[in-house]
Amino acid sequence: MPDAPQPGAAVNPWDDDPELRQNVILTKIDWVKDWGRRHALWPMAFGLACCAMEMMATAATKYDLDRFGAGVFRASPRQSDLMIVAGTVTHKMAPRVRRLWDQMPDPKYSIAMGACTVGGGPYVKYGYHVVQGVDQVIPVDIYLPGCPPRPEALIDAIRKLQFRILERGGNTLPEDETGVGAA
Amino acid sequence: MSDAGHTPGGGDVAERDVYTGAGEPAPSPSSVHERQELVGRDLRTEELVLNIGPQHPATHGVLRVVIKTDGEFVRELEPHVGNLHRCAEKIGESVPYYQWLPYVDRMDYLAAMCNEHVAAMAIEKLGGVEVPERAEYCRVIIAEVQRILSHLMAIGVYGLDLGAFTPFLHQFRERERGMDLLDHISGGRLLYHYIQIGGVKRDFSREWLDELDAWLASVERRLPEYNTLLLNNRVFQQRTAHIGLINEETAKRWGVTGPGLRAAGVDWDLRRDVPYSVYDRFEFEVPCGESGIAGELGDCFNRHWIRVREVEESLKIIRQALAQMPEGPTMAKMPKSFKAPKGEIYVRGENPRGELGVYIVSDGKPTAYRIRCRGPSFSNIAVITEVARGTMIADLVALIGSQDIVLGEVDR
Amino acid sequence: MADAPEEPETPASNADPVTERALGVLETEHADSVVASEMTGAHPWIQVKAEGLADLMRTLRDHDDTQLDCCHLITGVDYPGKGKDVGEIEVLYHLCSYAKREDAAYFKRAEKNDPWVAIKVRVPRDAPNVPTVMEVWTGADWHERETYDLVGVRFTGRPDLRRILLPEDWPGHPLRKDWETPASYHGIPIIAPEDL
Repeated sequence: MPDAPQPGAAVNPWDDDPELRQNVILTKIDWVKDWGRRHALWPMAFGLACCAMEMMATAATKYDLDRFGAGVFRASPRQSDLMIVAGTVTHKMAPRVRRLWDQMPDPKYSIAMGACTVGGGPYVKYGYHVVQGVDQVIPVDIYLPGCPPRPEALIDAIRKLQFRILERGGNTLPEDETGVGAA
Repeated sequence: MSDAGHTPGGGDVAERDVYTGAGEPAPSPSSVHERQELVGRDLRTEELVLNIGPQHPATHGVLRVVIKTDGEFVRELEPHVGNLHRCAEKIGESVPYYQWLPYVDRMDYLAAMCNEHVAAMAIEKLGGVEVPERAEYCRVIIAEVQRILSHLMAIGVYGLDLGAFTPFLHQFRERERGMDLLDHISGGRLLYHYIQIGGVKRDFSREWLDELDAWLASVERRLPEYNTLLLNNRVFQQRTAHIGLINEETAKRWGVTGPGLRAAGVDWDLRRDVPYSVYDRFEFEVPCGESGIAGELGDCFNRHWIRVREVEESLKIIRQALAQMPEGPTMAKMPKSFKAPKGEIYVRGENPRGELGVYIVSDGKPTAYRIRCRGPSFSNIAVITEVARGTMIADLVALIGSQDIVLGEVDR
Repeated sequence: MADAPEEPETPASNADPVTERALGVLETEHADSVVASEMTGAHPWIQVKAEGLADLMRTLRDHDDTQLDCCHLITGVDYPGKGKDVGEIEVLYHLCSYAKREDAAYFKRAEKNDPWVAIKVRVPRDAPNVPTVMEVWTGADWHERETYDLVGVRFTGRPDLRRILLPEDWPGHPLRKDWETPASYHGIPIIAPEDL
């Protein structure tokens, strides 16, 4: 026990009570929020093409995405905060992708999974109906190349996104920075 | 889309026959009304247009189905496809034959090896390329491994559609090991480009064959487990038996192929009836729909059951092929730039989902003049416009799931 | 069919027995419809006139000798002409038969052993009107819509000829040889293959 305070001296429990110092963390509310968000990503079950099979494999038995706190695949955009665009986005699908993105509550994140969403992939040259990169439709946080990317790569992308959430907080990429027009 | 209200009489399977009219000639709206009378005279319903998809877990990708419902019944239905149209045919006209094969993988991405097999056969036939015998065996073995993987996925995901999550996780155990096998031989887990024009990319190694043996044994051992979880499960049987009937006449008229056709009682499998590659050297059965355990010809249950039995037949084929496999090269001598002579060709082969057809017109240049692919899922999903009329909404999910479509192949 | 005529074995000729048989049926039932035919080679075919196509197809489906009960594939191929010639579009029907599975003659083919029959129709490129076969095989519905969508063949006499794969307002028919990639679609730019 510390000595009794001298009469007239200011009482400062922070300095004087070491137990208190061990039990209090000083931080920003925002940091705590981001920390929580980071470990509870709810991806949307949004399979477009081949990559969706690898997304399923990532969530299934062997790779078990739940270990990284991102395994709760939701069928509704209104319940999810991560859109993994898994597969080729076509011109017919692009408005729907945008609409689903708009339906997701803020803060929200997106991963462009696979070469097709990164920039058109193998279809970039002669695939007249393929959008040459999903970043023309929605803002993208993480680009994940591969055709299709292996589950390990998707797990890595999600880990990278988690670190980014902590670094930048909130919406990692404000939409006005990307200059994306409405689809 | 709950199961509540699914059996209005609270009855068993036999009683539900009254309500499912699918498979007969399309019921007119009035007959839907008549059936509705059975549900309850006091219940007034009005027509509602319901839009399922393109983002919906039950549509297996980006299928969009617009249905007009009358209460719980589907009165009219229209599938909208094309959300994944990736221009494979245009690309076929623009890139050399060698470069086109990877695009074929991506059409039916759950059965990439089978796709490659048929497309490579078409180009070889057009160009007069002789494939070494060992390569043919490699192709058959790898295509059958792919068929098992595809059917495992179909079995697991069908459970997922009907609300059973466990079989999905169980099948992924075997599927992952099978994908590792294909990964070790080709370098890709899902899309391979292993079968190439003139042969296959590389020969099997001793270690790989050991791995394959172990995997085949584990699939054989685990199949009864899946059957316990799904096929013999009473809930599953009630969800699928007598549901989504596609009878023989309807199936032929719509061009349904694969398990859907065989479930309707048509004893037809291209591997046996029009043998391509070296399929004529193996003994295997073609499972056909029957009303054995539950259900009747052409219902969802039979389509599922056929997939289960086809896995067993594939195991047989692989084992026979491994025993018969001759020594020799696995790749023919191919020129650096391959040109097919003038002409046209149509080749089809049995994919896990049905018959894939590849039609090529060549004008003697390194690229094709016109390539056209017949994706089996295209016809298999078209048929639901007719058979889904008059079913209940929850049964529609069972019907679409039992057709096991891959949208990449519907839209190509 | 038990009463199907025995096809004589002629090793000298490479003619395709299935297509030959279909041609025989067409020559007796629709003699003036047959334009040309190719019986040998890897891809035998019969070319017929567009007029009365549905009746002809119905004969092929119902006749005891052919019984082609499945329309496997419908393809459109664009053959643009040079100069004043407008060119032609070829519509190709691959038909096959489940009913004839027991028929041995179907499985003895010279170049290939796949028993399908290819029926060709050629129509001018500026008026590509082909009668529908939807009422013969219902499954032709989607195949015809796709052929219209990508190649621009107009199938007459059927309802609901809409695009199926591409969006409704897509410009042109991409598998025509003179189709050009649009610069953008609904504000999303498309880089043409030449510029990549």
